[in-house]
Amino acid sequence: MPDNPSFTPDIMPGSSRITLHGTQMIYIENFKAIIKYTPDEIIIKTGHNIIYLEGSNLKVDYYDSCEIKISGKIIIIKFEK
Amino acid sequence: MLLSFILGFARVHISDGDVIRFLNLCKAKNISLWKVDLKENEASFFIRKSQISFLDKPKEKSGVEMKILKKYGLPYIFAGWKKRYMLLIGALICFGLLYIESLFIWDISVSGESNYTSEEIIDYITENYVSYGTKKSSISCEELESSLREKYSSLAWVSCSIKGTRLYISIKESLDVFTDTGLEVPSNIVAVKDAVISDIVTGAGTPVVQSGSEVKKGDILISGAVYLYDDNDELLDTLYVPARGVVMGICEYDYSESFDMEYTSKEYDGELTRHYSFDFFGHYLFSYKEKGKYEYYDVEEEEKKLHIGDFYVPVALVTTTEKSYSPERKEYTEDEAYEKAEARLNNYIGDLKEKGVQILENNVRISIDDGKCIAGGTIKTIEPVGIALEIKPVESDMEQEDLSEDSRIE
Repeated sequence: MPDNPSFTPDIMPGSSRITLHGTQMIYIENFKAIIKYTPDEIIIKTGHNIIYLEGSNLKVDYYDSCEIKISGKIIIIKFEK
Repeated sequence: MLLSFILGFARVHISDGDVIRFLNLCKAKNISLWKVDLKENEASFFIRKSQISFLDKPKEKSGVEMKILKKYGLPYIFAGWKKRYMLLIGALICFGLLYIESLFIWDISVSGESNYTSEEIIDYITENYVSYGTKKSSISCEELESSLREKYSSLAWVSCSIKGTRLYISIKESLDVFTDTGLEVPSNIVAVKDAVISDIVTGAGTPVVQSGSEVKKGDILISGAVYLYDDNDELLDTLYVPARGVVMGICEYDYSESFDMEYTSKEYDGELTRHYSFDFFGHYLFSYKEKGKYEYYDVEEEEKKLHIGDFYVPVALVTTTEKSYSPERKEYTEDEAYEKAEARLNNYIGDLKEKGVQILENNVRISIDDGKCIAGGTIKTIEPVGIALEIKPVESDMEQEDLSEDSRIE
């Protein structure tokens, strides 16, 4: 199924979907945990990656069991296995 | 946000522990948080009321101190009301009473009056038809209108309506009838007062009087009956039309007015006392009783009915003002007395002129005699004296015989 081009990879178990709205807002679905949370840096653990967000005035607007919404001025997004 | 308000939510503050772990434990337990404001080793966030109880485990495990900063939403508002259930019951009773009160009339307003006073019309209505506190559903505006027309014959137009808890009476008095004999049904023009006819212009109908004729109140001036004769001067037929025309008459008014040359002048010293009370369904609450604070004083009473727009309630705020004065015995000088008498006379003449009356002669003399100023005499005027009056069926065949004579209908 992952090889089928009709499907996007986020249907795989443990994978996450990231939606970025400009540099002001980011949604991360299927996140596992918040590792670090400061106004300048937020580190989020997902099923397959660790996502580093760097910027200023970063803030968690909302989160529940599967989704987190972060707003602020996002400058860098890094991924680590 | 609306759903959160309905279900209730709170702002929670955590500190002194592993705050990040607390947030992750919340996530693991499917607890939704929003507006998470994280500072060094402390955080605050919003949470639904139903999920607050689930925070105990994350709190224990992460070792944070938790404090609910503020509660929002309907459940908390209602919970606050539980303690004030008497207030809630009171509010419900108040709304119930207001609803019941809105079913009745609590104020009557009259507009358009000039010869009649609104007080006399309101008195007539309250005594004979709609008293204060009458149920709105039992009032027939049509019936009230016809009742007013019957009582006040010179009303040209009456309209009644109910807005809120107020009954509006709008009237138009029949001064205009002289120039606008607007009846559409067969009618005569009759004299409204004793007069000597000075001028008559007939628009429709048969003139019965001519210039110089002396007429009494109620006499027909222009008849609505029009007679058709054949070549032998025999009556063929009689048509009844709405009589139209302008009839001017010379009338005489007797004027008599007097006042004492000596009078008591009130010198107000500016001292006053106010008392407030409530008129509740015609009964005074906290009513004012004279205390005799001043030796001489005037009492003024002002009543303000409480209302919101047209929604009047049967409660009025009554302000009673006592104004202290010192009486002083004075006497008019001759000039002052003449001036005052003339002012009163001019006022009287002004009222007449407002009614469309022209003054022909003013024979009023002012004199001072035996400590009194007396103004007396006659005022001769020229004014419209005709008013349209519907022809009653019984008159029909008598018209021919009565044409040359004065026929009184009263």
